[in-house]
Amino acid sequence: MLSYVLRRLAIAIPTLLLVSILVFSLLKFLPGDPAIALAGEERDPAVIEFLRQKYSLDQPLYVQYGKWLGGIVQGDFGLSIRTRLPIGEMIAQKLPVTIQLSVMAMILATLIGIPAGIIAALKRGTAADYGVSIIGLAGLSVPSFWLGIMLILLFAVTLGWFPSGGYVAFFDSPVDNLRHTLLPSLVLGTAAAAIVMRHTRSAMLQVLKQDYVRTARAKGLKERIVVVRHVLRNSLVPVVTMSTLHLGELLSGAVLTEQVFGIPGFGKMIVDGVFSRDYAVVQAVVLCSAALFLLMNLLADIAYVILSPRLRG
Amino acid sequence: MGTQIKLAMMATAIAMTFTSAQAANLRVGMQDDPDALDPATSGTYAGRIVFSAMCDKLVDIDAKLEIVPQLATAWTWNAGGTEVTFTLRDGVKFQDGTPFDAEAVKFNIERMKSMKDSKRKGELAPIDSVTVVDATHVSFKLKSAFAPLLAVLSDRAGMMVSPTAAAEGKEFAANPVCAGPFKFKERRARDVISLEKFDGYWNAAAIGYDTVQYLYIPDSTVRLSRLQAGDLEIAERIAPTDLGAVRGNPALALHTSPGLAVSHLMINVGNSEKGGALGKEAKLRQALELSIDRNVINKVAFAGEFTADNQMIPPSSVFYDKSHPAPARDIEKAKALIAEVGGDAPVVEITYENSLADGRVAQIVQSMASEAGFQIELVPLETASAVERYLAGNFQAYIGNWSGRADPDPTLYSFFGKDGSQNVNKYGNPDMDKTLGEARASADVEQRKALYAKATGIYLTDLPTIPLYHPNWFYAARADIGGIAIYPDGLLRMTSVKPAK
Amino acid sequence: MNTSNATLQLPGTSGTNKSVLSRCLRQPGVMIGGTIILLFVLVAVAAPLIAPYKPNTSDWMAIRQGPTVAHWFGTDDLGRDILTRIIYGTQASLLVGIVSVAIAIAIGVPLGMVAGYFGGIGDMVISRITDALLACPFLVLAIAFAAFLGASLENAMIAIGISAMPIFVRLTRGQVMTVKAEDYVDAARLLGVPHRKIMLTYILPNAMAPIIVQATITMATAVLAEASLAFLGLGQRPPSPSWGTMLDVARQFLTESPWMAIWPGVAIILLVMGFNLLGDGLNDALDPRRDD
Repeated sequence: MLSYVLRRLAIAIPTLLLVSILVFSLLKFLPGDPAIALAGEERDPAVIEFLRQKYSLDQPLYVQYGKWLGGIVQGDFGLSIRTRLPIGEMIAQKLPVTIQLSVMAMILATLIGIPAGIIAALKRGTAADYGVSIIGLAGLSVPSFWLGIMLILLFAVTLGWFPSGGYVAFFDSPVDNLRHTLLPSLVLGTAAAAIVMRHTRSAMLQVLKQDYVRTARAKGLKERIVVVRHVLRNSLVPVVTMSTLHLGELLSGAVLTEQVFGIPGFGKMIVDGVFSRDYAVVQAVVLCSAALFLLMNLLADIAYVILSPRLRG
Repeated sequence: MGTQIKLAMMATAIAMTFTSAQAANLRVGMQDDPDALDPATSGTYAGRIVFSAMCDKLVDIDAKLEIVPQLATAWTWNAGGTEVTFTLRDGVKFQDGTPFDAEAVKFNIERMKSMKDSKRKGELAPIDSVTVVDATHVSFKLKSAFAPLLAVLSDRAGMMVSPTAAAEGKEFAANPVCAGPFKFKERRARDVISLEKFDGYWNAAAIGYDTVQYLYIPDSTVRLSRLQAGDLEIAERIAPTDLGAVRGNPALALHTSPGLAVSHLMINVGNSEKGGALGKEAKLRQALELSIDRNVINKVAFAGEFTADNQMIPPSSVFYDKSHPAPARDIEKAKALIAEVGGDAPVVEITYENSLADGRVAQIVQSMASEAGFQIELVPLETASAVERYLAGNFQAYIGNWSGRADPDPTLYSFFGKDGSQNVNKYGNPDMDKTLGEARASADVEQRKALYAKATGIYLTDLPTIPLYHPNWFYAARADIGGIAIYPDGLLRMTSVKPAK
Repeated sequence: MNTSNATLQLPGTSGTNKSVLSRCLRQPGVMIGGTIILLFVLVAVAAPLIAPYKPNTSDWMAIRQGPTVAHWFGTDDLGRDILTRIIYGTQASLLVGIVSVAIAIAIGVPLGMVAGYFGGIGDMVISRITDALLACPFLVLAIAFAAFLGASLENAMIAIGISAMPIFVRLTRGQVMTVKAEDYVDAARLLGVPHRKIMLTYILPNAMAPIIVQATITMATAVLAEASLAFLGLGQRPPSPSWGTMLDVARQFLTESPWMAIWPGVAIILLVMGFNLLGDGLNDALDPRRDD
């Protein structure tokens, strides 16, 4: 197991390196000089020229890349071009916010998605199945930012139950923190719930067809016991795997959700970075999210390996 | 030694219980996140709001844009207007304990003039040298007479930072030290900037709060809803469309001021091949101006809350020129002018920085101008790309948003002076240069008024840009907060602001 | 050479096309999804005929008016009819869905085929770059590309197409490697059929089904992505209508003019659901492991 994990980690490193090269070169081709974005209202050409030198923007690409990578290897993500704050510190402030949102979203998603998927599978072909499937499909099809706007309209503007945006750190005030994060987690969790539901349903249907289920039924076991002991346990393996994978993808959804709710998280950091031409920030953030994605892949595989032997039992 | 430490610890403990017992915290909702917190390199309005609590200036302005003392208590000009001597406030300390004196002023002006990435170089260019007379007197020698100097020193160029902190190697912007009422405590990027009261402030008795937090909340609607919920005490730049909600809420108060800023449609008159038909023909520019109704722009885009106007200098300035009122919309005359020039329907490409406000203005202009026969194409670009084209003079028309200054010179000279920093559309008129030069050298207000009226007449005839409107400042606050006074520079001056009793 | 075709049994050629089609049509997802999309296509094409107003004409006397008889969905911040703009917005959304997926396929499928068929260093390079791209969040890639290219509908299509491309590389490569192992491909190779012809006539048709399914689902993703980009100001240029841009503007007036935010979102959901239903239905119909 350990050697497997190590081997996987070893494969991840060249992928990350490649991500860093791709992101770096992509950003370098972005029009809009970051030095100009920095120069502010005055836009004095001499200042722009100086900034270009200061951030090595006038040097060959490979030199810039080398400097940057050298810093990363030593754990130094550099300074944000715009605010001149250390990027490592910014990530340490913002990543936990998005992780909190993603984990809350995933909890909501499993709480909704797994029971819904079970019901749909057990009542296959009935109105309940179609109902759940249609709702699931709608959940996959709704734009997260629109859902966010609608929830704000209903729960914040009209009913006034929740704030319409912003963020309070958990350690500042746990209650306020939950009030600020519930709606965005719900938005993030909607698509995730739909995905969990679809996977649960199809996994259940697969398992229900298996011989050992037929045998168990033939032995005269109660349907409830068959479902819980045999079907559910075995069908959850792919569901757990898929959910872990999806946790990595929630980052992508968080980009817009954080934008709508004005939450200072990782996703907003990317968007702000792209728009303010803060290359250093965008590079660091994309690299981190790729690393997270690969990590989640690895965790999913490990979960699969750990859970799978039970299939045989 | 031992007892001393114990005493100190006790004193700290007492001080801490004392402050926590009645700590008053002011939370301000901000539309933008400031950039670098160094007066020399800062380039955002949001940054100026924070500086107004953190960094005192040599002089300040009042509601009428008159210069008033701040760190300097008095100043005298020599006869030719080429040298000014400041008397500095005695006993002022920077937030790190460094004394503020004439040497510190010299250090600051020289730092801002020489620092490589200083954005104040242009503003301070008229200063030739700084001489320390004694500890509380310092004199600036100018290259030539320059009346607007004090107005320049009432903004970032006049903010004094601690020479000790600036000389230390570490990033000053991450740990700024000034001589204002509040000192820097902490910054979480794109989230919050926290300041705390500076007990050694020269006017510490006037400070009403122990801490100030500037929270970055880009949406006006969200700022307003958090203010309504009591999560904020003050919210800056409330959108004109949200003002009804503030006025209708007895728990809130609206604080407004006319602004110095101007939004204008700049036309590329000097780069003939890039400027298109509009750049070549003054008649077409006049036709464009006649085809738009500035009041409709103000009403549709800004709920009628801004000031529709045809000049770069706002009506709130004493230098505003009443003899050139905005022309009424006249489609027929516009069509006639277009016909006079002849040829196909004039095509105009309007470039702008992609914001909702500018987008709306651009679409309204497009719609109105098309009625006169213009064919308008819109090119929204995100800020960095738009500015790149702006600086390169690579546009036909560009919606410019200029923050304005207390004195008309920086605005008019920057845009219309031959070597003005914002003259990217290469406008040139010797008559204009002569008029602006005379206005600079004159210290007499009436004489300057007449000269700026002449300059206004010149640019309104040449139309290198078509001014559209002046934004006004709208701060919303909890009704029980006292002492908020917004001046035309739109800054929140913190010393007078007091919590409810 | 000509005889080779006749001697080889090719699954999925014209003889079976009819049954595949009828199998597809029997899926409710294909029928419902297909109908929804067809309706949207009709709306897009007939927009000038069915829209009550012109999309960019402002009525300065009717700024942000709620639904009335004259304006069923109300008017926007510039006094334009929202229903009309939703109808015209269909054009942008459909165009992005189709063109960006076409771009993704046009680049992704050939790369995947080359990688899967030839293997070797080419495969390694293509696969590693694909892995790296897939590790970056899709929307983040699209935002970065779109910001790089500048805001316009064409650029949004390119950005989304490129970001969606790696999925097609990986999928095609996997399919090709499976099909490559089939006897008839070996036979063709032994008969000396050129690689290009083997790829195009023997492998591609048999690897096509999952690519078609993926293409349909990616169209749903692309429509959502366009709306997202437009919401961030990276889509259709004003004044041309786009659902995402309409939502971006509506967000500002949520308290005072909530109607502006509702209908563009409903339109997006319907169109995306149409593509998703179609994709699900096609998946069920074309899945070789299907048993019911």
